[in-house]
Amino acid sequence: MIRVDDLTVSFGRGDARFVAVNQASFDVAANSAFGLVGESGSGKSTLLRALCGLVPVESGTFDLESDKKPQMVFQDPFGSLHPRQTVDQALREPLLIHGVSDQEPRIHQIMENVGLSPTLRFRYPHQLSGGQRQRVAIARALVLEPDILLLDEPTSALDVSVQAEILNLFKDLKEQRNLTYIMVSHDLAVVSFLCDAIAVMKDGRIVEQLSRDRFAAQDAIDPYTNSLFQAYQ
Amino acid sequence: MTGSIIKAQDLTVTFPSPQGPQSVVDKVSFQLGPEKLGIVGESGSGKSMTARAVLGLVPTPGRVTATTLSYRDNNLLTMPATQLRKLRGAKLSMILQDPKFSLNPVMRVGDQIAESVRLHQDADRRTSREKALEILARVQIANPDRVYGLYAHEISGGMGQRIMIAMMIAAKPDVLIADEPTSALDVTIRGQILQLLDDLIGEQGTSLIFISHDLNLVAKYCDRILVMYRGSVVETLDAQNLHASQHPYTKGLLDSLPRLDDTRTRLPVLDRSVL
Amino acid sequence: MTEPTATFREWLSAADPASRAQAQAQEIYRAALALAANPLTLIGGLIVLALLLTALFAPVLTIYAPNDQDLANRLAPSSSLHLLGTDELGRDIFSRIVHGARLTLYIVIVVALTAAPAGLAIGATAGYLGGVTETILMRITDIFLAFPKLILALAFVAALGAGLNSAILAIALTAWPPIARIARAEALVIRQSDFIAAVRLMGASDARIIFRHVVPLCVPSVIVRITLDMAGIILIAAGLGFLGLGAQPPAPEWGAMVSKGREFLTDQWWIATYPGIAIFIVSMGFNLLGDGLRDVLDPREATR
Repeated sequence: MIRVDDLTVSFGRGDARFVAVNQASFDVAANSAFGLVGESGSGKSTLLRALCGLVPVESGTFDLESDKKPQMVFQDPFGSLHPRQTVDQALREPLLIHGVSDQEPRIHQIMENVGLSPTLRFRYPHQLSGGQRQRVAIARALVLEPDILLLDEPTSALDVSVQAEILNLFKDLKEQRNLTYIMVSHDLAVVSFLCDAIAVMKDGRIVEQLSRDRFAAQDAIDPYTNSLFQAYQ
Repeated sequence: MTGSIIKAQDLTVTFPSPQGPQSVVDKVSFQLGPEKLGIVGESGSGKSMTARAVLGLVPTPGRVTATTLSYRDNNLLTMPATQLRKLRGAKLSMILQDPKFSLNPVMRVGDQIAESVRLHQDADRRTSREKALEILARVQIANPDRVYGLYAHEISGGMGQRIMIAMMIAAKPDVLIADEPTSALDVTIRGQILQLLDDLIGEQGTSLIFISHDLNLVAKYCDRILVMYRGSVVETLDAQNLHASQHPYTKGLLDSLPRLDDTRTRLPVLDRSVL
Repeated sequence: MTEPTATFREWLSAADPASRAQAQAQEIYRAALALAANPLTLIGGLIVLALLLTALFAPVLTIYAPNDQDLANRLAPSSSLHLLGTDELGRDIFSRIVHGARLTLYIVIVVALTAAPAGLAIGATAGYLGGVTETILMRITDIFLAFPKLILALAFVAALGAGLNSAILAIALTAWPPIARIARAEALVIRQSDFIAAVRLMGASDARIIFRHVVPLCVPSVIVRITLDMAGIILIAAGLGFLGLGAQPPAPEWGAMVSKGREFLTDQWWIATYPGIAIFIVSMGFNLLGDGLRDVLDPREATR
């Protein structure tokens, strides 16, 4: 189980200090998916980056209860792959860093798991479609077999037909690999489809947490959550 | 057909490639009346390029051909470049996804609106400034005096689209092409911008071509919809009938969208082999 | 049964490369095709290639040794015996220019191989790490950049003593700062990218990130810059030679040849003019090639 307590992240000092995440607390059950929704500037992506150490935490604590580093899948499949590295290099790099010996079978296996044809193995990112790139990014995140996957708007740059394929893939991988997800998105329907519990963020604060059932039924108390539902209509 | 403002017949845009010319827009035909016409499709469907072709803004080395491409019976294909440019400024206009690219980066946004007023409404310097402030207030900008003096890089996406709409109010175009105007905006701001756009169109009798990847949005917002796939129009239908579409592509796209109260555990995947 | 062997060209344009080597060869092939499509780049490339071949086959291309004196035949104009005439010691100018290509190429290669990696490493490290490291590294770079290149090179040569190798060292010391600036600017953008965040999450060390992920993306713009700088480097080398601070007599260095020929410019114009033309052509060749490389290698083009 993931436990986040009073997590605060800020940038700058003095008058220029900006609190991006303000005392966020939530729990995520193992092998479940937790959604963070909110508009741009709500701090949802910063919170996600703080959980994997890409952004320093100012105060508060979090416990991921995993000895493996969480990995992340990013929004823009153009920007999340090194433009001069082939698929093979991208997937091999984490194995090289950790000195894993059986690289060949692992690369084969993970490509198959995320639905990438072996013929794509030596292609560069610019020779792949958006959906294929996102699959490579997912494969790269999973090749070290983490317990936790952080998803930062992983389908918002994709066409809806491709989004459906990637969302299905996330569902399958979660069961197959016993993964726990924390997903950030501005798309309420996407979060509702994948997540078991959802937190709504505004101006760095979590204003409300809802179970998936209540979220799907638009059964919210907070006026801001309700305004999001309103805009979704 | 009278009443049609833009008429396109077999509009084709090709780009050269090592394998010969590739059509990104392939024999697209449509007519635009006094209405809100939506063009939807996935990336690479040619929806943006269709709009650019109408405005004569296809980047080199693209080639535009058509049996007809006209604006109020003026042939846009044979029109001299200078005349087309004049028409683009006055009668045909465009709003892009990121307003930062459409605004002059070294000119205060207020001055840009004022200039537009001066050009199109024949006003002097002082009146055009006042008019610009008035228009800024109309697009629900809380502090027009402050915003007047800002530069393009100092404004948010939502503010930028308000300013683009303000420029349109000043220019009073006959046809407005909006290419994903709200895709970069938060949902709560999106509603406000669409409302403003609606007011502008209703007031000035402007025809709108609204390009988007968002089927639900287009269905709600537009009167009529062209669905594009791989450079071709696969279906033209009234917006209210979109959700009843029986075309495999349109239906496939709609089905693949998750819903807030979805009970499906898997989303159907679009079967491209039947297209 | 073996598959029928595909032609090399098919191998280079196959949609699904079967190895990393093939994938890289395809990238280079595509870049080469794009380069060759621009006639000016092609001319630049041919000039640089000609310089290379001239330097390589200098003894084969010439009848006379570059330092062979024929005092009976000094200051002779162009003739069938001496294609470009002879200088004040009766040495064959054509032979000296051809052998001088070796010196020019030597200078160019040594400077490129020292200044480019040094500038790249300093710039990429500064840009990626930021903070105090960046401030220190970039202020040092700024100090070097504050002086005009030739003046700085002159100062170094004055300190190191005249000679070809000190000239090269001096030029290399003035050539790395612009490279470092470019690499830093690139690294500043690259460090923000998601693919760098992804390797950080994998637990890669800073050094690994800089040298395996950041540097390869800075290389194209550095190659472009150093190629464009080659013209300037050749001119500075010639300038140092002209002032007697570079290659020492009797080495057939083009700048030194122009300098010597200056005394005879009014009557025996060819002594100074031909090496001058050689400097001009080679500088232009590198410039044209650099311009073409910029169009092809610009990383902003390649990422999309």
